[in-house]
Amino acid sequence: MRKQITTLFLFIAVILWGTWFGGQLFNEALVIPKWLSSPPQSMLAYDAIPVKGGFFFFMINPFFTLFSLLATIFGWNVAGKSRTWMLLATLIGFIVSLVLIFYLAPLIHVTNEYAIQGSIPANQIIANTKEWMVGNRIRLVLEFCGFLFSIIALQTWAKESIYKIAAVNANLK
Amino acid sequence: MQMKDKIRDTALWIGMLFMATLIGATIYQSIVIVPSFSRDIPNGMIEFARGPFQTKAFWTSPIMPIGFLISILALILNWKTPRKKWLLLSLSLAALGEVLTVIVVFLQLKIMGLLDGNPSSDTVLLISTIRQWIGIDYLRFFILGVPSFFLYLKAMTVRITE
Repeated sequence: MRKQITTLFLFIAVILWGTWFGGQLFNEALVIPKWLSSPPQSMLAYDAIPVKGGFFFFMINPFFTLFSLLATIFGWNVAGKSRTWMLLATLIGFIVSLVLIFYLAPLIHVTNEYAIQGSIPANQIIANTKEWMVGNRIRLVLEFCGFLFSIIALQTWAKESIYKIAAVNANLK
Repeated sequence: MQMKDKIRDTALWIGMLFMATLIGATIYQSIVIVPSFSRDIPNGMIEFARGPFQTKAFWTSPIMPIGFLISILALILNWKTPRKKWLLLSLSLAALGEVLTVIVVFLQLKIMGLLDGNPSSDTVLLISTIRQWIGIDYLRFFILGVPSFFLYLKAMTVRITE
Protein backbone atom coordinates (compact mmCIF):
# COMPACT_ATOMS: atom_id res chain seq x y z
CA MET A 1 0.00 0.00 0.00
CA ARG A 2 2.81 2.34 0.97
CA LYS A 3 4.53 1.65 -2.36
CA GLN A 4 1.39 2.38 -4.36
CA ILE A 5 0.89 5.67 -2.49
CA THR A 6 4.52 6.64 -3.10
CA THR A 7 4.16 5.81 -6.82
CA LEU A 8 1.00 7.91 -7.01
CA PHE A 9 2.65 10.88 -5.28
CA LEU A 10 5.68 10.58 -7.54
CA PHE A 11 3.45 10.56 -10.62
CA ILE A 12 1.58 13.64 -9.41
CA ALA A 13 4.86 15.37 -8.51
CA VAL A 14 6.29 14.79 -12.02
CA ILE A 15 3.08 16.04 -13.64
CA LEU A 16 3.07 19.19 -11.46
CA TRP A 17 6.80 19.83 -11.91
CA GLY A 18 6.37 19.48 -15.67
CA THR A 19 3.31 21.71 -15.78
CA TRP A 20 5.07 24.32 -13.67
CA PHE A 21 8.25 24.23 -15.72
CA GLY A 22 6.36 24.39 -19.03
CA GLY A 23 4.28 27.32 -17.84
CA GLN A 24 7.37 29.13 -16.58
CA LEU A 25 9.15 28.56 -19.88
CA PHE A 26 6.13 29.92 -21.76
CA ASN A 27 6.08 32.94 -19.43
CA GLU A 28 9.83 33.48 -19.86
CA ALA A 29 9.68 33.19 -23.66
CA LEU A 30 6.49 35.10 -24.33
CA VAL A 31 5.31 37.38 -21.53
CA ILE A 32 8.44 38.61 -19.75
CA PRO A 33 10.31 39.92 -22.85
CA LYS A 34 7.33 42.17 -23.69
CA TRP A 35 6.39 43.07 -20.13
CA LEU A 36 9.89 44.15 -19.17
CA SER A 37 11.14 45.29 -22.60
CA SER A 38 11.42 48.97 -21.61
CA PRO A 39 10.41 49.58 -18.00
CA PRO A 40 8.59 51.48 -16.63
CA GLN A 41 6.58 52.24 -19.83
CA SER A 42 6.22 48.56 -20.83
CA MET A 43 5.06 47.71 -17.29
CA LEU A 44 2.38 50.38 -17.50
CA ALA A 45 1.27 49.03 -20.89
CA TYR A 46 1.16 45.51 -19.43
CA ASP A 47 -0.90 46.67 -16.49
CA ALA A 48 -3.51 48.05 -18.89
CA ILE A 49 -4.19 44.67 -20.54
CA PRO A 50 -6.02 41.82 -18.84
CA VAL A 51 -3.19 39.24 -19.04
CA LYS A 52 -2.24 38.14 -15.56
CA GLY A 53 -0.12 35.10 -14.80
CA GLY A 54 -0.26 35.26 -11.01
CA PHE A 55 -3.11 32.78 -10.63
CA PHE A 56 -1.25 30.05 -12.56
CA PHE A 57 1.81 30.36 -10.35
CA PHE A 58 -0.18 30.70 -7.15
CA MET A 59 -2.20 27.60 -8.04
CA ILE A 60 0.65 25.22 -8.85
CA ASN A 61 3.67 26.41 -6.86
CA PRO A 62 2.85 24.92 -3.43
CA PHE A 63 1.77 21.57 -4.82
CA PHE A 64 4.83 20.32 -6.66
CA THR A 65 6.84 20.83 -3.49
CA LEU A 66 4.12 19.22 -1.38
CA PHE A 67 3.83 16.10 -3.56
CA SER A 68 7.62 15.73 -3.84
CA LEU A 69 7.75 15.91 -0.04
CA LEU A 70 4.91 13.41 0.40
CA ALA A 71 6.58 10.97 -2.01
CA THR A 72 9.85 11.32 -0.07
CA ILE A 73 8.16 10.76 3.29
CA PHE A 74 6.08 7.77 2.15
CA GLY A 75 8.92 6.18 0.20
CA TRP A 76 11.70 6.90 2.72
CA ASN A 77 11.92 3.45 4.30
CA VAL A 78 11.33 1.42 1.17
CA ALA A 79 13.24 3.43 -1.45
CA GLY A 80 16.82 2.76 -2.46
CA LYS A 81 18.73 5.10 -4.74
CA SER A 82 15.49 6.84 -5.72
CA ARG A 83 15.37 8.35 -2.22
CA THR A 84 18.28 10.66 -3.08
CA TRP A 85 16.48 11.93 -6.20
CA MET A 86 13.21 12.38 -4.32
CA LEU A 87 15.03 14.33 -1.63
CA LEU A 88 16.83 16.51 -4.17
CA ALA A 89 13.59 17.32 -6.02
CA THR A 90 11.92 18.19 -2.68
CA LEU A 91 14.85 20.39 -1.61
CA ILE A 92 14.78 22.28 -4.89
CA GLY A 93 11.01 22.63 -4.55
CA PHE A 94 11.49 24.19 -1.11
CA ILE A 95 14.28 26.51 -2.27
CA VAL A 96 12.29 27.65 -5.31
CA SER A 97 9.17 28.26 -3.18
CA LEU A 98 11.09 30.21 -0.53
CA VAL A 99 12.93 32.32 -3.12
CA LEU A 100 9.62 33.04 -4.85
CA ILE A 101 7.68 33.93 -1.69
CA PHE A 102 10.34 35.96 0.12
CA TYR A 103 12.34 37.49 -2.72
CA LEU A 104 11.15 37.36 -6.34
CA ALA A 105 7.40 37.89 -5.85
CA PRO A 106 7.74 40.85 -3.42
CA LEU A 107 10.49 42.42 -5.57
CA ILE A 108 8.48 42.41 -8.80
CA HIS A 109 5.21 43.27 -7.06
CA VAL A 110 6.69 46.35 -5.39
CA THR A 111 8.56 47.37 -8.57
CA ASN A 112 5.35 47.05 -10.59
CA GLU A 113 3.46 49.20 -8.06
CA TYR A 114 6.22 51.82 -8.15
CA ALA A 115 6.12 51.81 -11.97
CA ILE A 116 2.35 52.35 -11.96
CA GLN A 117 2.49 55.08 -9.31
CA GLY A 118 5.67 56.63 -10.72
CA SER A 119 6.90 57.03 -7.15
CA ILE A 120 10.56 56.08 -7.73
CA PRO A 121 12.99 57.09 -10.51
CA ALA A 122 12.88 55.10 -13.77
CA ASN A 123 16.51 53.98 -13.41
CA GLN A 124 15.67 52.34 -10.07
CA ILE A 125 12.77 50.50 -11.69
CA ILE A 126 15.06 49.35 -14.51
CA ALA A 127 17.66 48.14 -11.96
CA ASN A 128 14.96 46.25 -10.01
CA THR A 129 13.55 44.57 -13.11
CA LYS A 130 17.04 43.51 -14.25
CA GLU A 131 17.70 42.02 -10.81
CA TRP A 132 14.37 40.20 -10.97
CA MET A 133 15.02 38.87 -14.48
CA VAL A 134 18.38 37.41 -13.44
CA GLY A 135 16.78 35.87 -10.34
CA ASN A 136 13.93 34.47 -12.39
CA ARG A 137 16.31 32.81 -14.87
CA ILE A 138 18.29 31.23 -12.04
CA ARG A 139 15.00 29.97 -10.65
CA LEU A 140 14.10 28.54 -14.06
CA VAL A 141 17.40 26.63 -14.17
CA LEU A 142 16.75 25.31 -10.65
CA GLU A 143 13.25 24.28 -11.68
CA PHE A 144 14.64 22.46 -14.68
CA CYS A 145 16.88 20.50 -12.29
CA GLY A 146 13.96 19.84 -9.92
CA PHE A 147 11.84 18.55 -12.77
CA LEU A 148 14.64 16.37 -14.10
CA PHE A 149 15.32 14.95 -10.62
CA SER A 150 11.64 14.15 -10.17
CA ILE A 151 11.67 12.24 -13.49
CA ILE A 152 14.82 10.34 -12.45
CA ALA A 153 13.26 9.64 -9.04
CA LEU A 154 10.15 8.17 -10.67
CA GLN A 155 12.12 6.05 -13.09
CA THR A 156 14.56 4.81 -10.44
CA TRP A 157 11.69 4.11 -8.06
CA ALA A 158 9.85 2.10 -10.74
CA LYS A 159 12.97 0.00 -11.39
CA GLU A 160 13.54 -0.59 -7.67
CA SER A 161 9.92 -1.64 -7.16
CA ILE A 162 10.16 -4.19 -9.98
CA TYR A 163 13.41 -5.58 -8.59
CA LYS A 164 11.86 -5.91 -5.13
CA ILE A 165 8.79 -7.70 -6.52
CA ALA A 166 11.10 -10.07 -8.44
CA ALA A 167 13.15 -10.70 -5.28
CA VAL A 168 10.02 -11.46 -3.23
CA ASN A 169 8.77 -13.86 -5.95
CA ALA A 170 12.19 -15.59 -6.03
CA ASN A 171 12.11 -16.03 -2.23
CA LEU A 172 8.61 -17.50 -2.39
CA LYS A 173 9.79 -20.07 -4.92
CA MET B 1 23.40 0.01 -16.62
CA GLN B 2 24.77 -0.34 -20.15
CA MET B 3 25.64 2.67 -22.30
CA LYS B 4 22.85 1.76 -24.73
CA ASP B 5 20.30 1.91 -21.91
CA LYS B 6 21.65 5.25 -20.73
CA ILE B 7 21.20 6.73 -24.22
CA ARG B 8 17.65 5.31 -24.36
CA ASP B 9 16.85 6.83 -20.97
CA THR B 10 18.36 10.21 -21.84
CA ALA B 11 16.35 10.48 -25.08
CA LEU B 12 13.27 9.55 -23.06
CA TRP B 13 13.98 12.26 -20.45
CA ILE B 14 14.45 14.93 -23.11
CA GLY B 15 11.22 13.82 -24.77
CA MET B 16 9.54 14.05 -21.36
CA LEU B 17 10.79 17.62 -20.94
CA PHE B 18 9.24 18.47 -24.30
CA MET B 19 5.93 16.80 -23.43
CA ALA B 20 5.75 18.55 -20.07
CA THR B 21 6.65 21.90 -21.61
CA LEU B 22 3.79 21.46 -24.07
CA ILE B 23 1.32 20.56 -21.31
CA GLY B 24 2.49 23.33 -18.96
CA ALA B 25 2.44 25.96 -21.68
CA THR B 26 -1.05 24.91 -22.78
CA ILE B 27 -2.35 25.12 -19.20
CA TYR B 28 -0.67 28.50 -18.74
CA GLN B 29 -2.20 29.70 -22.01
CA SER B 30 -5.67 28.44 -20.99
CA ILE B 31 -5.53 30.08 -17.57
CA VAL B 32 -3.72 33.31 -18.42
CA ILE B 33 -3.96 34.14 -22.11
CA VAL B 34 -7.33 32.77 -23.28
CA PRO B 35 -9.47 34.58 -20.63
CA SER B 36 -7.89 37.87 -21.74
CA PHE B 37 -9.66 37.63 -25.11
CA SER B 38 -12.59 35.29 -24.42
CA ARG B 39 -14.11 37.78 -21.93
CA ASP B 40 -15.27 39.95 -24.86
CA ILE B 41 -15.56 38.20 -28.24
CA PRO B 42 -14.50 39.47 -30.77
CA ASN B 43 -13.20 42.80 -29.39
CA GLY B 44 -10.97 41.12 -26.80
CA MET B 45 -9.36 39.06 -29.56
CA ILE B 46 -8.86 42.07 -31.88
CA GLU B 47 -7.21 43.93 -29.00
CA PHE B 48 -5.09 40.91 -28.06
CA ALA B 49 -3.99 40.10 -31.63
CA ARG B 50 -2.79 43.67 -32.12
CA GLY B 51 -1.14 43.74 -28.67
CA PRO B 52 2.42 42.92 -27.68
CA PHE B 53 1.96 39.22 -26.85
CA GLN B 54 2.36 37.02 -29.90
CA THR B 55 1.67 33.46 -28.81
CA LYS B 56 3.10 32.22 -32.12
CA ALA B 57 6.53 33.26 -30.79
CA PHE B 58 6.34 30.24 -28.51
CA TRP B 59 4.31 27.74 -30.53
CA THR B 60 6.26 28.23 -33.74
CA SER B 61 9.64 28.30 -31.98
CA PRO B 62 12.23 25.57 -32.76
CA ILE B 63 11.51 24.01 -29.33
CA MET B 64 8.41 22.33 -30.76
CA PRO B 65 9.84 20.44 -33.79
CA ILE B 66 13.10 19.66 -31.96
CA GLY B 67 11.21 18.26 -28.96
CA PHE B 68 8.95 16.20 -31.18
CA LEU B 69 11.89 14.81 -33.15
CA ILE B 70 13.68 13.82 -29.94
CA SER B 71 10.52 12.06 -28.76
CA ILE B 72 10.48 10.13 -32.05
CA LEU B 73 14.16 9.34 -31.53
CA ALA B 74 13.29 8.03 -28.05
CA LEU B 75 10.69 5.76 -29.67
CA ILE B 76 13.21 4.47 -32.22
CA LEU B 77 15.82 3.83 -29.53
CA ASN B 78 13.26 2.01 -27.38
CA TRP B 79 11.71 0.10 -30.29
CA LYS B 80 12.90 -3.30 -29.12
CA THR B 81 12.00 -2.72 -25.49
CA PRO B 82 8.70 -3.15 -23.59
CA ARG B 83 8.38 0.64 -23.66
CA LYS B 84 7.56 0.54 -27.37
CA LYS B 85 3.77 0.16 -27.11
CA TRP B 86 3.41 3.01 -24.60
CA LEU B 87 5.64 5.35 -26.58
CA LEU B 88 3.95 4.42 -29.83
CA LEU B 89 0.52 5.14 -28.37
CA SER B 90 1.72 8.37 -26.78
CA LEU B 91 3.42 9.69 -29.91
CA SER B 92 0.52 8.62 -32.14
CA LEU B 93 -1.77 10.84 -30.08
CA ALA B 94 0.80 13.65 -30.17
CA ALA B 95 1.13 13.25 -33.95
CA LEU B 96 -2.67 13.41 -34.30
CA GLY B 97 -2.54 16.65 -32.33
CA GLU B 98 0.12 18.00 -34.71
CA VAL B 99 -1.96 17.04 -37.75
CA LEU B 100 -5.05 18.68 -36.25
CA THR B 101 -2.98 21.78 -35.55
CA VAL B 102 -1.63 22.03 -39.09
CA ILE B 103 -4.94 21.25 -40.85
CA VAL B 104 -7.44 23.08 -38.64
CA VAL B 105 -5.83 25.24 -35.96
CA PHE B 106 -3.38 27.19 -38.14
CA LEU B 107 -6.24 28.40 -40.35
CA GLN B 108 -8.17 29.46 -37.24
CA LEU B 109 -5.13 31.29 -35.84
CA LYS B 110 -4.78 33.12 -39.16
CA ILE B 111 -8.45 34.23 -39.05
CA MET B 112 -8.04 35.32 -35.40
CA GLY B 113 -4.95 37.35 -36.31
CA LEU B 114 -2.65 35.42 -33.99
CA LEU B 115 -0.17 34.72 -36.77
CA ASP B 116 0.15 38.17 -38.33
CA GLY B 117 -1.63 40.56 -35.95
CA ASN B 118 -4.52 41.15 -38.41
CA PRO B 119 -7.80 39.55 -37.30
CA SER B 120 -10.42 38.95 -40.02
CA SER B 121 -12.68 41.93 -40.71
CA ASP B 122 -15.61 39.52 -41.16
CA THR B 123 -17.04 39.75 -37.64
CA VAL B 124 -19.37 36.74 -37.96
CA LEU B 125 -16.50 34.54 -39.17
CA LEU B 126 -14.20 35.90 -36.45
CA ILE B 127 -16.69 35.23 -33.64
CA SER B 128 -17.44 31.67 -34.80
CA THR B 129 -13.73 30.94 -35.32
CA ILE B 130 -12.77 32.16 -31.83
CA ARG B 131 -15.48 29.98 -30.26
CA GLN B 132 -14.49 26.98 -32.36
CA TRP B 133 -10.81 27.47 -31.54
CA ILE B 134 -11.46 27.60 -27.80
CA GLY B 135 -13.44 24.33 -28.07
CA ILE B 136 -10.88 22.60 -30.29
CA ASP B 137 -8.02 23.72 -28.06
CA TYR B 138 -9.67 22.14 -25.01
CA LEU B 139 -10.52 18.98 -26.94
CA ARG B 140 -6.98 18.71 -28.32
CA PHE B 141 -5.60 19.15 -24.83
CA PHE B 142 -7.88 16.72 -22.96
CA ILE B 143 -8.34 14.06 -25.67
CA LEU B 144 -4.87 14.06 -27.21
CA GLY B 145 -2.40 16.05 -25.07
CA VAL B 146 -3.11 14.77 -21.56
CA PRO B 147 -3.44 11.05 -22.51
CA SER B 148 -0.27 11.35 -24.61
CA PHE B 149 1.57 12.81 -21.60
CA PHE B 150 0.32 10.09 -19.25
CA LEU B 151 1.22 7.31 -21.71
CA TYR B 152 4.71 8.75 -22.04
CA LEU B 153 4.98 8.89 -18.27
CA LYS B 154 3.91 5.24 -18.12
CA ALA B 155 6.62 4.35 -20.67
CA MET B 156 9.21 5.93 -18.40
CA THR B 157 8.34 3.55 -15.58
CA VAL B 158 8.79 0.42 -17.72
CA ARG B 159 11.99 -1.46 -16.95
CA ILE B 160 14.19 -2.42 -19.89
CA THR B 161 17.29 -3.97 -18.26
CA GLU B 162 17.45 -7.56 -17.02
